[in-house]
Amino acid sequence: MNLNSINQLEWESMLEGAINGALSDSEAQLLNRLLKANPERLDDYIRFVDMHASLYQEPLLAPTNMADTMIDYQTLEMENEQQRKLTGFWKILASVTTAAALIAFSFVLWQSMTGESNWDYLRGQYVGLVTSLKANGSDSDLYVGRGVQTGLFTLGSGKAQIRLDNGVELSMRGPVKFEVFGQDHLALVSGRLTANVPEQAIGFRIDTPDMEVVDLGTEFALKVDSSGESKLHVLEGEVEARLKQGLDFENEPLIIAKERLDDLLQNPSYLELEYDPISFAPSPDRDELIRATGGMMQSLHEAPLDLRNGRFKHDYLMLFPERLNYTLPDELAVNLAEPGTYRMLTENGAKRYYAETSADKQACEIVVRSTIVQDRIPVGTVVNSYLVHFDAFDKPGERHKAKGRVRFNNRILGVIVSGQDLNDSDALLGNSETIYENSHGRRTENDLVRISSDQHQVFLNFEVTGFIDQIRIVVEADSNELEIARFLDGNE
Amino acid sequence: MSSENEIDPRSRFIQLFMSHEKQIYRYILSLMPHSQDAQDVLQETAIALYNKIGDYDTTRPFAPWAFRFAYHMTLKHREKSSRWHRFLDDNLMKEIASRQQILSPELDQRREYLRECLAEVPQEKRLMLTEYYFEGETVDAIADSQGKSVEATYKALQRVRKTLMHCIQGKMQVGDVIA
Repeated sequence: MNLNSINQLEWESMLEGAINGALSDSEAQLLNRLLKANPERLDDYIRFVDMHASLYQEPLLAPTNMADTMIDYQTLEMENEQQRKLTGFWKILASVTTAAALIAFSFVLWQSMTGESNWDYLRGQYVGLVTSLKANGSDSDLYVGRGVQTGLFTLGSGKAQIRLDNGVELSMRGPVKFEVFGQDHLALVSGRLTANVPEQAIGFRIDTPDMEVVDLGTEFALKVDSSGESKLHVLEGEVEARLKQGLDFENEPLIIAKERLDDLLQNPSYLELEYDPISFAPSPDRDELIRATGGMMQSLHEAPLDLRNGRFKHDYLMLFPERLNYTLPDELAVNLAEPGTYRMLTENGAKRYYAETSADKQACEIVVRSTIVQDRIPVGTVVNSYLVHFDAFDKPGERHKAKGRVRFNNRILGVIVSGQDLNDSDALLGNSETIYENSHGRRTENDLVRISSDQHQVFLNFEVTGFIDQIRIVVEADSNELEIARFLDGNE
Repeated sequence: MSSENEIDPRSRFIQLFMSHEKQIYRYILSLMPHSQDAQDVLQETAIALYNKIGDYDTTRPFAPWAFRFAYHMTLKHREKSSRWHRFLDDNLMKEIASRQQILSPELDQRREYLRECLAEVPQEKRLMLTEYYFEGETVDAIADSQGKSVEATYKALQRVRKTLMHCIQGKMQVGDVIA
């Protein structure tokens, strides 16, 4: 293409392609040539990209006056790409040593920034979360929502599930013992472990005493008996596996694909072709009801047992199901139900909000009292209830903030935000085994809740000061049944 | 009274980096205009700067020193990423980096105007920008939440950016006339 023949529309389209990472090789080459040949285009490119960059930093687009930093100082060096790619014993050793130094470094940075001195609660220390636990109490230090650190992890009995930060879901059946080197690498010492590895975590590796298994996009189950002998079963996709010692062909990395087991010239001794769900750990649960979470929101597969003030602290917004497929025995009042961006204010919060917030920002938000009632969900509606809980760690003199979002597959029927209404709905929608905070200890103040226009997504921007923030999200469990309930109630 | 030399290097790094973070990010984004990749480079730059903070000459401005690291980290990142491998060649990246410094006063002014122009954007469009730029939503997710096609959402974002560019340009020209 002739450089001079590029018209303004094509030029703008090229700039858009550049910031969206969508230029083909030939388009990228053309852009190179254009920028070199024409100084005005070069300046235009710089102006456009600078505007694009400035929009990321523009306070007018921020629903609150959060002074965002893009750098995660706590995990600054944990993100070093090379560390994640190291393999082999000496490299692992180097990696662990370096990781320890990096954690120390992150800690020092965090301390310098916040004055925080509690090692336990540094996000940078965690590589994952316990999202589900069915144990008989013998593992007293384990609980749903506990951060998983590098080091030895044990489960004495029962079942548990962990989500690593890279999205890997690990399901285990006790007794199991494994060493966590990082989110990309574990060593299963003994017991049963099944891993579901999403695309972004391909390369995830599990060592056993006698094997190395590297994921190539898959779900696979491993078990190690008391003698240290390992067995592998591939549930989906493929892995690369090898024995550390044994027959010649078994020492070499072998691609084992679920759909191409017949291609194997010889079955390696470590491979179990049949999946026995009892002798292996079960396939990890996947939440079919939640399409995605983002930002500082973490989802758990089950509700924690104690949600009183100070009992379930985490720097994340924690989301978990409380009651699923529950038929409402009475009409349920919900504070928010209509799409929009809501700012919940109490009297004190209102003074601060109006003093500190620009008119432009105020224009983007609907200011409401948390006691507002926008809708009443009819009796007989089948619902799923989820709680979002935010009780951040104490950082003296600081407001604790977090923003995140959740997108449900089904429609959101309403959100309960007032402390009193949360209390009143605990018996109905809460998890029967969970101890909840009373209405005085939980409330929303100067918090932001946005319900998307299609009513499938909630975005939250929470701030806590001395009490906990909670909201209950009520989601339809079954569309047809909801429509029938509405019809019978005369609402539609 | 303590002198600057007595400040713990870690504290000095945090102070300096935090106060220049946005500037460094914009610099990186001009060389690699994709937010997530630029953030990765920013993170890698922070690591490199931290490791070398002892070499920093406190009598000189921090930004140019930090830009040198950001530039090399961008080159390094580009080598690892097939997406950016053929995007801008080395000479062009140097040229952009140098030209960006020359345009710096103009870019500062344009940023002022951007805020004014943004205030004029209708609320619905501004919410879309908030979702994209502040909340980090993908275009797919925004399209999903608004019940629009992905292509329509790309176009809508493109139109808003174009409107903003025109608005800024208009204000720059008025500013030139007044000056």
